[in-house]
Amino acid sequence: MLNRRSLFASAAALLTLLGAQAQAEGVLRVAISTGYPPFNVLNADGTFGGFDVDYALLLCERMQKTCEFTDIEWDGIIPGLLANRYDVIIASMGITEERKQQITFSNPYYQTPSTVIARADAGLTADAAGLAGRTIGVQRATGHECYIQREWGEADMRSYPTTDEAYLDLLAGRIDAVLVDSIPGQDWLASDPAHAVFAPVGGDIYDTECFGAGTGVGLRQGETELLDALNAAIQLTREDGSYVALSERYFGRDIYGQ
Amino acid sequence: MADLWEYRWLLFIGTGRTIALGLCGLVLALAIGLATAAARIGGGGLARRLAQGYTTFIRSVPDLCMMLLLFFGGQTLLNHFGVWTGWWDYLEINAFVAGAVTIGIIFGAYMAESFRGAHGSIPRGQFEAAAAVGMTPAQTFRLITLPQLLGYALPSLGVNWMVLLKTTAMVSVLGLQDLVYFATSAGRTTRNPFAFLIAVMVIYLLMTAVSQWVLARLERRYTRGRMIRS
Amino acid sequence: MTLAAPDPVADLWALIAAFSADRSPIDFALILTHWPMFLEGLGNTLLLVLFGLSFGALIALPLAVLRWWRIPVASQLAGAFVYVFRGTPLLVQAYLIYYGLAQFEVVRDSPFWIILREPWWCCAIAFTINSAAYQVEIYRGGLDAVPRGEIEAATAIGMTPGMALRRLILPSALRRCLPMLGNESIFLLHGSAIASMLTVIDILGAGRKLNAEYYLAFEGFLAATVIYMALVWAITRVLARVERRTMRHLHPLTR
Repeated sequence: MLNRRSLFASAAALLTLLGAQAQAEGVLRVAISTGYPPFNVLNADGTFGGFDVDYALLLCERMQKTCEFTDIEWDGIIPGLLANRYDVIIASMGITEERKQQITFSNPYYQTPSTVIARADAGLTADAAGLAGRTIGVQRATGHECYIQREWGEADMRSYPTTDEAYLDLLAGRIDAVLVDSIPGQDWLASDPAHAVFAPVGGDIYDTECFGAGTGVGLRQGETELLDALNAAIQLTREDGSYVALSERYFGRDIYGQ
Repeated sequence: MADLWEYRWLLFIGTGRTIALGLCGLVLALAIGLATAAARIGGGGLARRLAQGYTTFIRSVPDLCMMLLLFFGGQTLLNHFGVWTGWWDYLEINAFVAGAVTIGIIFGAYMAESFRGAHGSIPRGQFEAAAAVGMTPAQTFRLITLPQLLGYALPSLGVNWMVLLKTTAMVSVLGLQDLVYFATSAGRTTRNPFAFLIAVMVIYLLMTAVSQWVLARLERRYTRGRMIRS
Repeated sequence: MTLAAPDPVADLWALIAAFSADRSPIDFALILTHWPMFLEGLGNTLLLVLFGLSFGALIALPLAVLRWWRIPVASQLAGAFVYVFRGTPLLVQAYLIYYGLAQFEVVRDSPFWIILREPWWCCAIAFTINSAAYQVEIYRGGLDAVPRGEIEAATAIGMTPGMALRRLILPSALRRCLPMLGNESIFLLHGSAIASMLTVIDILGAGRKLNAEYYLAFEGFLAATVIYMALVWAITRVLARVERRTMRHLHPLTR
């Protein structure tokens, strides 16, 4: 007869062996959410890329840690952080008051406005009257959802797991417009000749309440040591020119703002 | 086709991971199923009721919902438990283990029903004979029940395996980089989801076909004894 | 002197709110205040499942008869249909219909686009096709189980094959299928949770939306789980009753 206690002990040991690893020293577990070019992408060879990923690598280097990336669905990214699946979120997350109730943020590492993208010939205007009754796509659990609900309540909002899926439906004509950050929006417009019929509508939108005061690294509340280290690392990348070099490589300009 | 070729390695790796996940989930499900069936057939009042509650609970909740609940809720529960007992600050359960355990828990309930059904197919007389020659219940289980159980349960276990295999597709929502994860990511990036989804369908069909072949062989082997006798 | 009328609902609510705020790790009050969202989800789930089951049956019945009569080519084609849609995950089928088809201009320019552009209809189509594949095998099993004698009796009294099928064999087979159809309806309900992956607010979709809005880890999933459990419980009860009624003639008259 198998001893019941030893059975439990071996099951626990097996669990530990299989997947429940303690956090290794010198490792920073970074959450990203792919499907968000040019910031978070999955390359054809299975590696992760994009501005956020490259910038995370810069930060890790400055903090003398190794980055370990986890790709997670966007609407599960804050719960995952709270459940201690990783240490930081470096995934173009806006520093909003609402999120600050759950997590804390580093200083902003870039700031860009948002924009509406629609067919240029659709005669759409980016205001409450122009979007009333129109279908507008956004990524689920983003500031864009917050903005549409507050400003354009008459619009029919459709929430997607990733922005890439919203683009697919914009292309297919299932939705009339998307509300996205301006850089990914511009990147999408330029990425394919077929996208030339689409254009930004109504210019840049700034909104601290919904889009936040810039984009920051998200971490759990109370981790002051890590927060200080992150802020110092961000400062370092500004001072040593590595930030500007990276930003120029991706966007041809410095997106840090202020 | 060019897109598929570009991402062929990812599809290959994803397929491997899906198969590994399915097999790990199967082993866990069989273990959980056997234990649950044993509790329902030969357990005491409490064990019997617990086992029944577990199978009823699992079979009334969609696998996708259960997966998300166990993945996010289970992790939070585990963290609370660790802090409460002081055993650990947190345990990191990676997506593969979480997926395999979730599949094991879900399909354990279905496997339990298969084993229970199979147990019912074993002729009563055999148990009476075992009791007559003075076997203990444990001996009866080891020497009489277990060797025959697999044969009787096999067709139903096979059906469960086919369903389990398809359920692996949902683990991509937990962030596990399986076949569906890579295919949908690549489909989005290349703006050619059709080709990648068709590829996934073909790969799943191949896995189903291989499973059927293996199952047919196994069934022939396990039922050979019965067929000669009857 | 008048006493304020006792208000049990308000009292219960105050109790839940206080419990959620003070002691419980789960915010029950938050879940309960979002009941309209879950109700919408419940409605969508029920509609989608009913749609899938009934239109699935419409497709499956003729295919099952073709398979049963073993009509060359048609029978094999029906078999292939069943094999493909039973052998692949419903999630992938739904993705294929929603994202896969939409990438072709031919599809977008076709009259079907009015339907295919809506996520709800894409789910409905995916569920219909998937359920049809499973139902074909169920009906075929039912047809195979009809005793030879019943068919011979029909021929003997001069029924044409079509008439025998319609009046005698199908009703007899369908009754035999009922338990399996009950299982299928619960399986389709389970499968329907993937509608939340295609932006449809079904039961699980409402849960995900709640989680996303308040950055919750699992409360929304928990609420969805409870609703699904209640639903399956109710369906099982109804099915058991229907089954008892329709199978009455097969039970001994000892009650």
